[in-house]
Amino acid sequence: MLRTASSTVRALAAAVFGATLLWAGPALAAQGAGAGQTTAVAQAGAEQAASADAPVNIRSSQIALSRDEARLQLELAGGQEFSLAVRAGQAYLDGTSLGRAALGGALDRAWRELLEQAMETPNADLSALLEAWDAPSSDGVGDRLDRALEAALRGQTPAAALANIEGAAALDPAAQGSDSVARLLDRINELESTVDELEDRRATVEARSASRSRQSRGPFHNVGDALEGIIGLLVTMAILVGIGFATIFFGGRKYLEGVADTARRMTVRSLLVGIAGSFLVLPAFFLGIIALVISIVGIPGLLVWVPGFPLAVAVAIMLGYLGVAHAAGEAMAEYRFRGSEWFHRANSYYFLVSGVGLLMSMFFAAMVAHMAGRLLSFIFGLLMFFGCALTWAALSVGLGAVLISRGGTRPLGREPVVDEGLFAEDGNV
Amino acid sequence: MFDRRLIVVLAAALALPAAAAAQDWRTLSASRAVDGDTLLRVEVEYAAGRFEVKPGDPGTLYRTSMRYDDDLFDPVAAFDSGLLKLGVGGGNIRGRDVKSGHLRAAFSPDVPLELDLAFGAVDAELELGGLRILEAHIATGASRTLLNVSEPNPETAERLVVEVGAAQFEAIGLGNLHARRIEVSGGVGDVTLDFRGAPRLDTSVSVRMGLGALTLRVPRGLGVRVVKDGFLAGFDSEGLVKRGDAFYSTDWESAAHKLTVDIDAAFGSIKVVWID
Repeated sequence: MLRTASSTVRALAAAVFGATLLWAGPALAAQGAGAGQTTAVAQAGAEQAASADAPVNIRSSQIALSRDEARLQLELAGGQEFSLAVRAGQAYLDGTSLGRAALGGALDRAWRELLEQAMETPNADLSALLEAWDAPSSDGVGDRLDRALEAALRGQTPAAALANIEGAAALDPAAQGSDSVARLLDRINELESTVDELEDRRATVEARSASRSRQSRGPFHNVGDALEGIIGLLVTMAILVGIGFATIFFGGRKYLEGVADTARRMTVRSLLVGIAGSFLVLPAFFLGIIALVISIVGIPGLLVWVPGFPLAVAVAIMLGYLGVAHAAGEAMAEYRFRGSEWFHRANSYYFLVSGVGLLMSMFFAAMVAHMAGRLLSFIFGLLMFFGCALTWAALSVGLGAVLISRGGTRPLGREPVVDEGLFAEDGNV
Repeated sequence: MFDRRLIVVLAAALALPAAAAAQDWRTLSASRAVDGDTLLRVEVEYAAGRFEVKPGDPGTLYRTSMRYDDDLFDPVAAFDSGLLKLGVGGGNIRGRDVKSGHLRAAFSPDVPLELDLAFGAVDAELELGGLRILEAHIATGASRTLLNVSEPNPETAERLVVEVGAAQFEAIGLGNLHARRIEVSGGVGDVTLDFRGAPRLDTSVSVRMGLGALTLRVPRGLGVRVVKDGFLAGFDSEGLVKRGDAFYSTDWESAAHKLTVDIDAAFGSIKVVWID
C-alpha cells in the first residue's frame, strides 16, 4: 500500500511541476524582458565585486570519497575552514543542506569527478581547479554548490556564503524564475525524501514484526529447539562412540586402556601436562617449521611436518578424550556392579558408551532445561557452562594422559601385577 | 616451486573471504601547503594493506591518500604543531579483504623529517631518497618492507631504528642516508642491509637478531668491521680478516668512510656480500 502511495506522490509531484512550468513560463519571460536593464547593472556589480575578491590560497585540504559521501574540507590561508559535501542524496555547506543531490545523479557524478581530480592536484593549483568547476547545467542545487564553493574560496564564512547565494538569486530575475523552479524541485525532493523515509519506516516495521513473529512461535518453540539439540548431541555421541569402537576393534584397545589408566591414576598430573601441552602446541609447530627451514636439508621434511603435526595433535586429542571417557565409564561401572556382574557386563565397549554419555550428560540436561523456555533459562546457562568446563577438563586430562603414557604405550599409572600369594605358593614348592 | 604453491594457496585463502564480504571502501586524501615549516614529525600506525612513502612536491608539506574499509577502520589524518599523525586503527580484520587498502604519503623534499612508522601485515615501499631525514624509526610486524634511499640525504640522520617482527626487510642505499647510527632488531625474518650510496660519514650499525638470515651488502672501498656474538649463528666472512674478536675488511685502515657492524644473533645465518 505504501509503495502505491509513494508512486502516487511522485506522479502528483511531477504533474504539479509540469503545470507550474507551463504557468510560470510566459510570466518569467515577461519579467525577464521588463527587468533586463536592472539585471545587467546588478550582474556588472556582482562581477566587479567578484573580481575584487581573488581566490584565497588553500593551506590544507581533506577529501573523502566513499559509496555515499563525497566531501571536501578546506582550510584557507586566512584560517577560514569550511566543508562542502554531497552526502546521502543531499548537498551540504558546513552541515547546512543546499538541496537534494541524488546519489549517482549528474551533480553527484560531477562533484566526485572534481574531488578525484583534486586528490591528485598540488595545493598550489587546487584553488584554480575548484574555481574553474561548473556544476551540471539546469541543476539549481548544483548551482548553489558551485556558488558556495566560489564564495568560500574567496574567504567568506559559511553563513556569508549562504547569504551570498540567496542574495544573488534575489538580484537576478532570471534566477528568481529559476529559484521558483528550484523551490519546486526542492519541494519535490522533500516529498521524495518523505517517501524514502516512509519506505524506511515500513522496512523497519516489517523487520520488527518479523522478529516478533519469530519470538512468538508458541510454547512448543523451545521444545522443538531442545529436541533439535538433543538429536545433535546424540549424533555427536554416536560419532565419538563409533570412533572409539573402531579403535578398540582394530587393535587400539591397549592404547586406549593405557591412556584411560594414566588418566585415572594420575588425573591432576595429566591435567597439568595437558594444559601445558595445549599452550605449547602452536609454538612447537612453528619452531619445528623454522628448524626444518634453517637446516636446509630438512626442508623436504616440511611436506610431512606441516600436515602431519596437526593431524597427530588431532589424533592425540581424540584418543585422550576417548581415554578419559573410558576411564569415567570404568569408574562408574566399578561403582555400579558388584561381584560376578562385573565380569558379565564390564568391557571396554560398555565403558566407552557410558563414559561418553557421562561426559555429555550436562549438555543433555541443559537441553531438557531448555524445553521449559525462559522459566529455566538460568539453569540452562549454568548447565551449558558446566558442560563446557567438563569437556575442556576431559580434553586437557586426555591430552596430558596421552603425552605422559606416550600414546598409551607406557601407562605410568598402571600398577604391576604382583600376586604375593602366588610367590608364596611357589616358595612352598 | 613450493613457494609458488604456498603463494597461490594464501592468495586463494585471502580471495575467498574477500568475495564473501561486501566491503565499504573509502578513500581519504589530505594535503597541506608548506607554511614556514622547519620540521615535520610524522607518526604512522597502519595495520594492514599497502604502504608507500615517497618525496612529493616542494610546496606541499605532505600529501596522503588512504583507502580503507569504512566498516572496519577509523582513519587518522591529523596535523598539529608540526606533528602529522596518519593511519587507520581499530577493527577486527578476520575474514576481510585488507590487502586492497593502501596508505600513500608524500612529503616535501624541503622540510626536514622525523619519521616514526609502525605497521602490521603490510606490504611497504619506503622511498626516502630526496627527503631530508633527521631520524627514522620503523617497526614492522608480519610484513614485507622495502626501504630505498636512492638519492643522498641532504641532512645527517642521527639514527635509523628498525624493529622487524616476523618479516622480510630490505634496505637499499643506506650509504645515501648519512646516518650516524643504525639499529636493527629482528625477531624471525630475513633482513638485508645494503650500504650502497655516497657515504659522508662513518656509520655504526647494531643488529640484534632472534632467528633468521641477515645479509650485509657492502660496496668495495667502504671500510668494514664486524663484531659478531652468538655461536649458533653461522657467519660467512668472505673478504674479511679476523683480528682479535672482530672481522675487518682489508682496506679498513685506509678507507675514507668506515662501517662498524655489531651483530648479536641467536640462530640463523649472517652473510657479507661485496658489491663492485
